[in-house]
Amino acid sequence: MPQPSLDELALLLMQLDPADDVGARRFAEAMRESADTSAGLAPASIIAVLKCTDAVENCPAADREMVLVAAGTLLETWMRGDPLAWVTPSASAAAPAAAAAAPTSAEEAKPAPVEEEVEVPEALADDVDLDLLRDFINESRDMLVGAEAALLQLETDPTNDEAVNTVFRAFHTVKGTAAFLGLGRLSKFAHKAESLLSQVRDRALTYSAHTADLALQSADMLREFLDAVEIATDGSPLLLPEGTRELTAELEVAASGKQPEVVVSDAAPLPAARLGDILVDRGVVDRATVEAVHAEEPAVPLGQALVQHNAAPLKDVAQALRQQSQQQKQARQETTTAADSIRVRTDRLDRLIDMVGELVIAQAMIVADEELQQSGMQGLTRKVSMAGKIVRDLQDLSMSMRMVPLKPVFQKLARLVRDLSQRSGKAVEFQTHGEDTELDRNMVDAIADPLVHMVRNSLDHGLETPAERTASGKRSAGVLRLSAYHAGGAVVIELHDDGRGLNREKILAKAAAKGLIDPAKPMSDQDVFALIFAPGFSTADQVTDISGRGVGMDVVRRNIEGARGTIEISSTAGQGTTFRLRLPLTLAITDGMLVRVGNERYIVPTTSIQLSFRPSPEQICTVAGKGEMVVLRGETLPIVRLHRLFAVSGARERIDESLLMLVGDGDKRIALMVDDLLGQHQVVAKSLGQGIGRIDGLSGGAILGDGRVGLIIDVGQIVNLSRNGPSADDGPRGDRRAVA
Amino acid sequence: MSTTAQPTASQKGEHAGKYLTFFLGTEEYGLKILTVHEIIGMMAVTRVPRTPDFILGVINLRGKVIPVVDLRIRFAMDVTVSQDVCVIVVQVRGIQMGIVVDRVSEVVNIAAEEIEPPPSFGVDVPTDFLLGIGKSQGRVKMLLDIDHVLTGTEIVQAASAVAGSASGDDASPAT
Repeated sequence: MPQPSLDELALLLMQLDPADDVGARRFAEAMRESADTSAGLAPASIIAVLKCTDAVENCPAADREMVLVAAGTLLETWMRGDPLAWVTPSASAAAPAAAAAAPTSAEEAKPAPVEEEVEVPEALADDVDLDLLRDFINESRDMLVGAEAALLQLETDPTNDEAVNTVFRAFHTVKGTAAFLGLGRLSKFAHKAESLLSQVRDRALTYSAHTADLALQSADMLREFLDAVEIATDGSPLLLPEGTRELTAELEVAASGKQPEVVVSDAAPLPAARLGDILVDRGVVDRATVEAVHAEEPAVPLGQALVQHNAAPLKDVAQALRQQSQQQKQARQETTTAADSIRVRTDRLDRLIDMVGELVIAQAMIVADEELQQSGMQGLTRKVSMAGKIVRDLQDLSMSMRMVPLKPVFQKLARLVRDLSQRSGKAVEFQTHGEDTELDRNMVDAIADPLVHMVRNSLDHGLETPAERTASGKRSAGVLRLSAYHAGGAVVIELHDDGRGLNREKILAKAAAKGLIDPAKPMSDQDVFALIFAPGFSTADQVTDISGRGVGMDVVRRNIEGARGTIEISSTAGQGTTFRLRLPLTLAITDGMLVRVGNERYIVPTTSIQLSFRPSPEQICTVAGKGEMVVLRGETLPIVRLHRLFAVSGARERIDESLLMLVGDGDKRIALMVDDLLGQHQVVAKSLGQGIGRIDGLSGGAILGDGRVGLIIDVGQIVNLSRNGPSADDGPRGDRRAVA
Repeated sequence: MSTTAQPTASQKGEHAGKYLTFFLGTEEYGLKILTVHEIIGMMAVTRVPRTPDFILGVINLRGKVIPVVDLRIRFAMDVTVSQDVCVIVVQVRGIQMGIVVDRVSEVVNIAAEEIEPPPSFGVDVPTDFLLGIGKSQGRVKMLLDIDHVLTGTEIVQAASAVAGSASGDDASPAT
């Protein structure tokens, strides 16, 4: 039947590059073949197809674009099973091939002045397949994300052909599919953007800062187009995004090559892997020498020039060159190794993870089954344990499914830095490390916005202007480094800038002025820096477009803490500031110690247990007959009996027969009394069901190995509770000190 | 669902429909069938500290943690242990919750004219958790306003208070 082959034809057509003669011929052949083999095609229709293939094969490359669009229209008519007609498109006149099928093809075919079209809102074709359209929107968005990443790569390496091709392909595919779906304007705009890129690819146009701007703006514009199309899927008119006309005009000018070459100013981000930079970084030569040599002989490659001037030994230059090419290779690899993926709804994924958890429990119950164990059936036992292995693998896999790399977030930030640095006139080199570090998707979502805020903040407040930097002997381009790595069961994200650092005096003065602190009281650097997280706090002298409105850092801290993370600042005046976010790997999985108290079991997060021990009677002392304390290495800690706090019956009463767990931190440490430790488990933390809400002292529940629910203890709240309820203040601490 | 404590006569028409009936002690109660999610056997319940008595604790409903309420304790009735005790899982305003009952009886259709407004016994016997009294097949069934019963326990309110800042776990919300 012709249907599948028609789909294949459509696919071929979409991917066809108008400049690709071989591809065009292949498409024409495939088209002819399906015309031959498909039954029931009227003679007139066959002639139309042959005319079309003729046109595709024989038209000049410059006109092929229009021919292909007409071919698309023909294909579409074919798919519907209507009689086919071929109208040769011509460059000057409108070519309404099958007007009903593609209402925009006319517009597509004529290079009409833009002004005429903008006013009339375009509507989606009546018979457009909405599912197809949605797929198109999603796929195009993905492709644009890839294109944007590639564009940013071009920032540092303008000669990266692979990146240019990625962008080109993205624009081209959007164009082709859009034309196929009858989205004339989108397709047309994509065409303009594509032409720009094709010129870059063919080296007809140098990839300058201006080109970069245009390309990025085009990507944005395409995204807006897609948004508009999405809105229009419910039948409302398809509105043209604002500024399309201007951008289209700019693209035309740029593609025609009339645009005066924009001098790459100092403000433009520098290519990271320049030979001179590598040599300077390695300490082989100093920057001044490199610049001097380069100025003297601009035509000679830098490495050669340096060796000729005896400025650097041949060996080092060769090494640097190797490093450079390696970096380039690495960069290329990074673009090509994007993993294939499909989209799955989150609730399905969560359900799957829940089910796998249940499967693990069910499997454990079979293994522990007494009848099975006593039956002596070796074969069955072996099969059960084999199934168990698979189940465990499945569990590991399901746990990893929610994990996503930080890369998209980092890429978004790279774009942000680029835009901000241009707007603020500060040259910024943005470095990222560890962008493949994986985090739970929820976590990534939770920190994306705070990170944006922090980056803005660092750029605006942290980094100085190029003039200031030069005056203080720094490179004129500031460095903003974002790195992520695993450390101790958590993910650490660091944002470092080499700017002016936090000004302790300024913060103190501001805080005192706002009445946040008592200026007479001495404060540690940590405490002073923490003030910038106070609501309404900003030390920026000016409120700028970027930040400095005094809202922000408090929101950042709240969001990070909401994701169970912490944020730290370290800063050296004149050398920069580092923000360090420490985040749990996932919101859901907790490493916990299962403890027994009477007839109940609880889970205590392992991270909050510092030590557990069985106290000897001499270690225990009491205050006023009630307050129980334990002396550990000269330190006195209050004992909190978990069974009393939670009113559990059947627990051990004697402290020296129980176990004490040292939990909490700083001056909030307590010794939590439990009966037994039952072992360490990785548990999936769940809320206790919305019906029960939040219980003081508990952070949630988890399904244990036997299928029962275990409750997870919130150590911080236990500490608070133990101080005579949640509202307790510092009172009891005074008592403790008196005894100690 | 009605949120008024005392449904008026004009409202009782809207209460007509299918009810799942069950026993608490010797009394028969009815739950609107649409609020019932499923009926499961009694299972191991994990007691949750610092909650009212009638909240028995939480159970594992196929990977989901849901609270279980014992209406017998809530209504200060005698708690008996028997084979027939089971848990009716209800879903109210998107929140799942288990209700322990002595025995599930049947599903009956109760017409509007078979429903009478809840009687008034004065302050000693609160009846505001009833939609009405249904009479079907010669037996009297107390039709529970489950929304109100659970709201009355104040746990639903507590839940909505923390819903916004609910601990990061999103595995539990009902689909």
